[in-house]
Amino acid sequence: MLKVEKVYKNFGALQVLRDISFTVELGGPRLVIIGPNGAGKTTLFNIITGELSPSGGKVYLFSRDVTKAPCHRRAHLGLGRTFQIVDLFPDFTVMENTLLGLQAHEPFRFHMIRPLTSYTHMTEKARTLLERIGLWEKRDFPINSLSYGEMRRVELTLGLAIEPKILLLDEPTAGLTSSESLELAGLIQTLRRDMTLVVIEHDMKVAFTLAERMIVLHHGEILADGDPEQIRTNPKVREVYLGERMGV
Amino acid sequence: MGILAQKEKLIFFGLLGILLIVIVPLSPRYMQTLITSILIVSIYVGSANLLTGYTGLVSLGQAMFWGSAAYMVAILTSRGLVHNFYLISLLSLIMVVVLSATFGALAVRTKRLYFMILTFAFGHVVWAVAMYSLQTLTQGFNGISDIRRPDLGLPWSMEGHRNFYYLVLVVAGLCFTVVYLIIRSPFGRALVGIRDNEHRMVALGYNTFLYKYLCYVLGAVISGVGGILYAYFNGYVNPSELHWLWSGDALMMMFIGGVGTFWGPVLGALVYTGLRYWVSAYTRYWFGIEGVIFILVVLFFRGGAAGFLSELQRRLSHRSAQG
Repeated sequence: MLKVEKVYKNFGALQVLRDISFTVELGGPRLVIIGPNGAGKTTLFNIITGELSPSGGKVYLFSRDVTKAPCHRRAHLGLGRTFQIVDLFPDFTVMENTLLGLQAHEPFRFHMIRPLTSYTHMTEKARTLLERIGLWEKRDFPINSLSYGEMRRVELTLGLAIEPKILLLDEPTAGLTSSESLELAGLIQTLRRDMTLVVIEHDMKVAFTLAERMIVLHHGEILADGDPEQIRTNPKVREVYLGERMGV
Repeated sequence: MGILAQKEKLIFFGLLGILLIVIVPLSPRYMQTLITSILIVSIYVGSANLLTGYTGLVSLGQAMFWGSAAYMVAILTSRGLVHNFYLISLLSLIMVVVLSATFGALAVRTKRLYFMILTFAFGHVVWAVAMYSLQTLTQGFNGISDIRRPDLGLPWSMEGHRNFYYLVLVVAGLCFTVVYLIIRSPFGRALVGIRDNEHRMVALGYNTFLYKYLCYVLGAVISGVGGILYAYFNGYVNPSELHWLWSGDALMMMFIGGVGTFWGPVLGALVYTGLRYWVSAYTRYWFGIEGVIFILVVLFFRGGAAGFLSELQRRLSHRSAQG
């Protein structure tokens, strides 16, 4: 499980996160974090993954204090993530991207003799994963030649490739049309349940499609934490999202 | 040249083999010497290519490993301390590993410009130490001469140009096989991943420091192998082998040959050393010409000679497919 305890983050005089505490159980409900721009959502992700260190508070991963552990060690413990802005290996093909993700935690990742392509069980794994994501036909295409929607899917593939126990998705549908977004949300819903998802989502429709639990961040604080129905009817949340229709 | 078909590949390697194994040894002595030096230099450029071309670490200190291995050979042989070629090579490479493991632990923590400046600084310190502090050992500016060709304990004497050429050919072949295997292995793919997007590699769980560190040490060892051969080949070692200008030359040759391509280092060493040889016969202004070549490559042939050749090959096969 993932536990965030009294996390604070300041950038100079600017307080971005204030007293954030929550727990995500393995196999627990899918958590969606929403909040207006600048609420501190991505900063929170970066603190959980270790790209940023908190100004105060602690992060626990599987009851281990990882507040000071580097990113790659947290990934090895079973924490995966995707990025809001697609962050891939642009000159590699879809297949090469996937293999690079798949081998990240394999014991042979430091081997120097056999070519990576000769590890056939890896190519099989990649095939299963890509077929699931719907990119198998595009496996030999370099990322540069893909459409934006397809790049988004590779982004998700890389998140899944390391077979994390907890996967953080940072706006998985950012920049997609609303029909593409819902399609991708549908795919995300079918992911295996022993992997706990924590999703940042901007699109309310997608957020309410995916959420089984919601946290609302506002000005760096947790405004509300509860199931989607509670969030929808919460007067404080409605005030923040004044004028927006909540999850129709 | 990854687009060659299987049959074309066989023909290409067949011809290359015949050229290197049969024709070069039958060619005039100056030609054998020239090709020998090109092969040695291409090992050196290959090491820089592993580090810079494949991993994205631009080092200005590659000469430090080439030079210190060469000096180790020079000191050990000229003082008659050790006579066994294999032991001398081993000791030289151990020194290179110690040097690179020490400097690497510091330099690899930094990125881009800072890495370049640190490797430059370390290299310059080693140069200054060889030039001044250890003068009694290195004979400073004068360098160490009279390095005799090695005795391999084989029936063939290395005193002859031809036999020494074969030794260099075998060692260069080994070095390039090692690089070839590495860049296709899981380790090598991770290096290229680090070059293209280190941020993502970290998020995936790669310990990128360890990869870069191992690559730095590996590159140093390959560079050291080149340095060892060079000391025996040239029979004379001076501080310019440690100088950052020689580190810069590695980058220059890599650019001319094609950064991050397998054949780039060989082509770069060939064009650079070959041109230098011919041009020097007519004019003293090699450095000016070198500069012009470099500018032309950067402006018009970003892929270097390797990129140019594969583009040419692509167009030719395209045309023949149409015709």
